[in-house]
Amino acid sequence: MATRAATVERTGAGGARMTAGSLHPGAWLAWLAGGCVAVFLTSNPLYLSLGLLAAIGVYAAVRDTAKGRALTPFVALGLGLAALSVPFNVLTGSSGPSLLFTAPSLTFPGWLGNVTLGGPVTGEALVTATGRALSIAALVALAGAFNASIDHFRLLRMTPRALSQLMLSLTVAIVVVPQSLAQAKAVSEAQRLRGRRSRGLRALPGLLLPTLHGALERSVQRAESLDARGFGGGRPDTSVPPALAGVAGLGLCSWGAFGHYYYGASWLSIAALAAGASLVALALLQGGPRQTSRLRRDVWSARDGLVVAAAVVSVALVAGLRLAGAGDAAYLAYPDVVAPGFHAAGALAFVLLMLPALLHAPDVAGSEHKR
Amino acid sequence: MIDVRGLGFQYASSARQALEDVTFSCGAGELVLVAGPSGGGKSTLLRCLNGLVPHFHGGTFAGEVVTGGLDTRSHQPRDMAGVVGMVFQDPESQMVAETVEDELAFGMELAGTEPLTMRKRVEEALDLLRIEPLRARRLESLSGGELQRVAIAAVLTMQPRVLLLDEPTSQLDPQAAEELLTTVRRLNDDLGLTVLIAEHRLERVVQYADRLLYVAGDGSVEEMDVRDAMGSLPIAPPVARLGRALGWSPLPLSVREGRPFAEAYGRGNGNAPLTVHSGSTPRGKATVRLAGVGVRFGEIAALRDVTLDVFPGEITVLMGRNGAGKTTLLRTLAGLTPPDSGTVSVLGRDVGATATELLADDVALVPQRPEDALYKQTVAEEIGETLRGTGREGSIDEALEEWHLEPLRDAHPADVSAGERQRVALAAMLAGRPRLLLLDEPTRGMDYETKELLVANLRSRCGEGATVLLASHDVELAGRCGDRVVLLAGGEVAVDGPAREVLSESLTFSTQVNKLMGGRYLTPEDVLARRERLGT
Repeated sequence: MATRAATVERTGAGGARMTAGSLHPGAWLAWLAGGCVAVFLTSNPLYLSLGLLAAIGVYAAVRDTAKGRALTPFVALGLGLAALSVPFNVLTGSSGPSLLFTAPSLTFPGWLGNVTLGGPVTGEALVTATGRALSIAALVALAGAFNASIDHFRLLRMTPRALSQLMLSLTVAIVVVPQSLAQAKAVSEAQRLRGRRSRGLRALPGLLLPTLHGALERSVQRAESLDARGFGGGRPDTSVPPALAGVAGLGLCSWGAFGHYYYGASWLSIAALAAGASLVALALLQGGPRQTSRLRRDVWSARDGLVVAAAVVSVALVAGLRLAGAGDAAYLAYPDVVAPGFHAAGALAFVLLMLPALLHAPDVAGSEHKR
Repeated sequence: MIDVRGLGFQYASSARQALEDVTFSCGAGELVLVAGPSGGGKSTLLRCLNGLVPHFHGGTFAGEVVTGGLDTRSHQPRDMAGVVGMVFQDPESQMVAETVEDELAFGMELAGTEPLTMRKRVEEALDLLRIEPLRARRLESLSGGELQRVAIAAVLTMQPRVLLLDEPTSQLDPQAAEELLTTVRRLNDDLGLTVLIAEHRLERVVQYADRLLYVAGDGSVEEMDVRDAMGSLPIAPPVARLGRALGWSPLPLSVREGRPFAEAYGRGNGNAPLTVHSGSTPRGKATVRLAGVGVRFGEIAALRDVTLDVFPGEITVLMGRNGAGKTTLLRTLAGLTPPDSGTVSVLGRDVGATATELLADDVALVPQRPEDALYKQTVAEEIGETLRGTGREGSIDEALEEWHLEPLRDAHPADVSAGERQRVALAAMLAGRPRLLLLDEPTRGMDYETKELLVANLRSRCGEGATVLLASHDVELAGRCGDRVVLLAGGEVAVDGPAREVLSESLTFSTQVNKLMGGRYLTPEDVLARRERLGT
C-alpha cells in the first residue's frame, strides 16, 4: 500500500521527479569535483586518509540503492593501483638520507631514457610513495561512490550537447560490462560442455576473444536500436573548434594530473588543471544549446544546495591552508621524514565530504523495485 | 504508406544478393505478416523500411523505398524515427534508460518534444501497452515479456505511423508471446497503425494478418493473400496443414475457424492411443537417475526432491512455466549446477563426482541462447572443437550434413542469421554421437522447416539408442516428437506420463489439433494416419 501511495504522489506532482531520497545528479557532480580537487590540493597522508574514509562512508550510505553496482571492483582497482604505485615510485627514484636497504639496480641505456631501476631505497621515498598511493586510492574511491549513487541516465540527460555522444558511449559501455561478465561465464561453460579441459588462467585467452566479440555485437545492436530511435538526429554537430578546445583541455588536465603525481603537488600542475578545465567548459558552452527536453525536472532541493556548499567550503579550506602554508597541506617527506602536521581546518574539509552520507535516503524508485 | 520499388540489397560481407528487385506497397492500417525461412532476409527487408539498410548496414543498394513519404536514400534512420518505429528481437539490447518512464520518454526528449505533450504521450503509451503499474520500475527488474512491451511503448511515444516488429516474441515464453501479439493486434485495430511483423509462430498471428509477404530466401519477396499462402507454402500452422490435407475450404487459419469442419469430420474419433510413437516399446535400463535431488540458489529452491528416471530410445519433454526449474534440471545433469541434496547418476556415473568436461564425452547440452554456445571462428571449427574435446566419434562433414549446414561451412557463426545460428549450435553441441542429449528450449524463434529437421534428427538419434531430454514451452513440438512429458511446477515433478495422455487432457498444454479434434489426436499426421487405417 505504501508503494501505491508513493506512485500516486510521484505522478501527481506536476511533472517533477519525486524521488525524495536521492540527491540531484548535479549535486553529486559537485561533490565528486570538490572531493577530487581537495584530494589533489594536498599531499598530507593524514588528510588523504580522511578523504578515503569519507568516500567509503558515502558509499556505505548509498549502497542500499546502488542497483547492483558494487564498489568492490573500484576498491580492487584502487588498491591494485595504489599497491603498484608504491614499489614503482620507490624503485624509480629514491633519494634522501635515511637509507632503508639497497635493491639490485638496473640502468637502461641512454636511448631508453637512462632510467635506473632499483638501487638505494630510502624512508623519504617510501613515505612519499605511500602518500601518492593514498591519494590514488582516495580518488578511485570517490569515483566508485559517485558511480554507485547516481542514475547514469539522469546524468546522460544533463550532459551538454557537445558531449552527449561521448556520454552515451560511456553509458552503453557501463551497461556492457555486466553483460560481458555473463557472456564470459556462458562461454566458459560451453567450453567445458565441449570437453575443453583447460581451466583458470590457461583458459583465459580462449575466453577473451569470444567475450569481447559478444560484447561488441551487443553494442552494435544497441547502437542500431538507438539510431532507429532518433539518437543523434536534428541539427548535425559539425563545429570543430569546440571539439578541439575540448581535446586540448582534456590533454592539459591529464598533463596537470600527471605532473601532480610525478613531481608532487605544485602550483604549476594545479594551474594546468584549471586551464584545462576552463577550456573544456568553454568547449561545452560553445557546443550550442541543447535542443532536447525533459519529461521530469530533477528537483533541486535545499539538501543539494548543502552538498554543493560543503564541496566548495572543502576546496576553499584546503586551498586556504596551502596559501597560508599552514597545517602541512603540501606535506613533503624531504629532506627528512617528519610526522605530518595537522590542522583542524584540513580535517574539517574532508569530513564535510561525508555530508551526502547523512542527506541521502532510499529512493522511491528503489523501494518500488524491491516490491 | 510504404512504397518499395525495385529494391535490391547485398551486404558488403556477403557474396549473394539478400534482396533482389523487390516491389510491393502497404496501405495505412494494414497488418502484414513477413514470413519465410530463417536467414531468408526478413530482418533485412524490415531494416530497409526505416533506412537502417543501407545507412547502418553497408552494402550495395538499389531501388527506392519510401515510408510515410520519406525516401530512405535521402533520410537517415534517426530522421525517420518519428514516422517508423522499430522493435528488435532482443528487448534487452534496445534499452537505454534505467526506469520505464525514462525509457518511454527517451526518444521524445531527443526530439525536443514539449514536456506537456511528452507527459500526455507517456501516459497514453503506458495505457495502450497496459504497463501503467510498471511505470516507476527499474528495467532490470522486468521480465522478458514486460521488457518487450516497454520497448514497443517507447517506440509508440514517437507517434509513428508504421511499426516494424522483428521477431518480437522469439525471446518470450508462450504466455508472454500470446499477450504481446494480442496487444499488437489491438494497436493495429485502435490506432490504425501500419504493422509489419516478422514472426515464426504463425498459429498465433496468421488469422489477424491482412496480407503476407513471403521472403523466400533467394532474394525474392512475394506478396500473397494469407489464405492462399497457407494453402500453398511449406510454412503453415497445424490447423491449416490439417485443413489442407483434408481439403477443407475455405482453409481454416485458427482453431475457431476449423471447428465447423471438425464437427462435420467427427471430433474425438479414436480415443484409443494411436501409436505413431507412444513409447509402447519395451524400455531399456534408465540412463538418467535422479533421487531426491534438490538445488537451491540462496533463498530460492530451484529443484525440490526430484526423483526421476529417464530412459534411452525415448524423447522426454520437460515442460512448465518460466522458473519451474527446467533449465536447472538440465544443467544439473550436465554437471554445471551441482545438486545440494540427493544423488544424480548419468550413464552409470555419479554427476556430483565427475567434472563437466569428462561427462561431455557422453553428455551434450544445447543452451537456450545459441550465442552462449559458440566461440570459434567458423562453423566447421565449432564442430571440430567438440569432436576434439570430447573424443566422440564422428566427422565434421557428417554433422554439417545432418543439420543442412554445408553452405555455411566457412561462415563465421556471428555472421549467419538467428535461425541458422540455432542450427550451428545444435550441430556443434550434438556433434559425434553423445548418448545423452539435453536441449534447453531449442525451438525459440525457430522456423517450421528447422523444427521438422530437429524432430527428424532427434528421432533418428533416439532410434540409435540415445536418450533425449528436452525442455520446451512448445506444445506443438512436444506433440510432434515427445514420447513422455514431465511437467515441473515450483521445482517439483507435478505430472509425469505418456505425451499423448498429458497433452490431450490439459487446458493449457494441448496442441492446436487436439483443441480442434479432441481425443488423443496431437498432430495433423495423427488424424491422417487414423484416416488411412480406416480406409476412408
